[in-house]
Amino acid sequence: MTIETTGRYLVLLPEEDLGSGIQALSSATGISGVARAADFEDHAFTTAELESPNASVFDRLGVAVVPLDPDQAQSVRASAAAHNNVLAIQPERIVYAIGQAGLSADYLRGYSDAATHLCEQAGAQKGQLNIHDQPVDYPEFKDDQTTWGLKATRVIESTYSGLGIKIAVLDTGLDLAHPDFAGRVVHSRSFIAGESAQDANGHGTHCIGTACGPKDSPELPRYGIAYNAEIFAGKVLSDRGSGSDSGILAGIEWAVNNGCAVISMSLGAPTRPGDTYSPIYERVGQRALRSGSLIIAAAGNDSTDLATGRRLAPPKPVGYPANAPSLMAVAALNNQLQVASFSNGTINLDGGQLDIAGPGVDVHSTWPMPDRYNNISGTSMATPHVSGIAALYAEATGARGMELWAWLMRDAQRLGLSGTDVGIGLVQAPLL
Amino acid sequence: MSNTRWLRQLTHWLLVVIVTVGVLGCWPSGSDAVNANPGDDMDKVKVNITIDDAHLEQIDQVTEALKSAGLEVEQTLSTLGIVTGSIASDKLSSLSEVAGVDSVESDKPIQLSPPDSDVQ
Repeated sequence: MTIETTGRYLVLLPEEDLGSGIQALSSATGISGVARAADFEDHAFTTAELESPNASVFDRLGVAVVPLDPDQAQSVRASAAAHNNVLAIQPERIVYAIGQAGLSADYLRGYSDAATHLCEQAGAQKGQLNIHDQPVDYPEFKDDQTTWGLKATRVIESTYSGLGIKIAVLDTGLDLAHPDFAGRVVHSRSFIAGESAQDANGHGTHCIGTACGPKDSPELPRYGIAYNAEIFAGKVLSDRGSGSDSGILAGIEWAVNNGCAVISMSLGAPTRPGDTYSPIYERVGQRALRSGSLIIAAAGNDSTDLATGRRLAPPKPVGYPANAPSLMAVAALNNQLQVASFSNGTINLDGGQLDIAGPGVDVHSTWPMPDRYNNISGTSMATPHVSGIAALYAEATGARGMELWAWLMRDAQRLGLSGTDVGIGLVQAPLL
Repeated sequence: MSNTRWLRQLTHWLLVVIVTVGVLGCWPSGSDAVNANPGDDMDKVKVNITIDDAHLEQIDQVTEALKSAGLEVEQTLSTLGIVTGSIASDKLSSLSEVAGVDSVESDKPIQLSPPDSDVQ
């Protein structure tokens, strides 16, 4: 489809120094006439002003609209490339209301021809070309240096480490003597009568490894995300992997009171179709969010057809307590970015939705000594990937609670898979 | 002949007794959860109670009222507005009547797959 332009350009200026941006634009183009929206009543430019040769600057948006000839446009492009107080430039486009009657037959014919041409070029079958039909060639994530999960989520490219962020992992505790956590700030607390926070099961140590493991792992591959985060290891599940709500709630209370921006819970119980969510966990989730703590929970591993080893169709519903809307529910993907066979799905419409997905098959992480490391699968493994990355966002943006939730959702990698299987898509680390 | 019949009846009766005792012995008592209060008898249920937003500041008063209604308080989580404890099952329904109570839920057990499982 032809892009119709007006001959004017939109220029993005630095919001923290609009003056320098305007100066840079003037010197690149030789245009001295500048009109600021602030000079007009209600910051509303007249159409006459917008169509004048002046640069019209939207002060609040940090954008200028200005007519340029090709040489001037090229000069501004060069300034943008050189990071010289101009951030970006694009031609101003003509746009139309969607679905408006009154589009000319010629226009529509041209649109249709162009779309058909694109279809043929892409070699698509007759019918719709959509994300599901596009050939997907995911990069080979396998690497001796880094686990596939850290590559697929781009953690390995992120400059953030969770510095200054507290992460609580409520699970079977942590192997407090594990050498990979030497030198880390670790707060541990047991909520299981008769047991210390020392992890004799392994599950908790594995999850904490993924969420918070070291940058320079003593043995490759690197497997940990928020390597500078402050670790709160809450034992809410016994060494035999058992727990109950009262212990979990006590762990959440402890984490919220200690200012943990992220609370990771790789635990739960199966639900049935038609089940609703727990009012208590929903209320707790809301109060935690308001206090600046985001609870991230595993969706559950009940969906493997035991007869065939494949995923049940339909899968089992998101488990408890992850099915509460105010808890972020995490699905599991394999290294081909397909849904893991065991990963539960959005079945129950009253709560019970999957929010996001993480690497959850063949996940290498820490295990109690002397084994040191282990490779296991589960939505339990996908969850600390999201939690560790949440800590990176908390550091990068300062966001907490619902705002932090929004960052994770915004930047997730959309996949050609159903939202009821993967939520918004594969979690991605902050890069900028 | 009567001896044999008597013997058969005795054997039958003994079998009934043995099977009944065996079944009673295997019957799960309450939930499979880690029982933090081994002294509880089977008539008590463990509950978690949410305090509504309006009464969050007076959680201590609400807790007292819950005790009067028969709750044996285990924990008061004041940041989250949760009270946990146990109560005789026949008094359970009275808890929701207490002012400031938003919801009452039974304490549910959570169990992970064994540590040597491939999928956890």
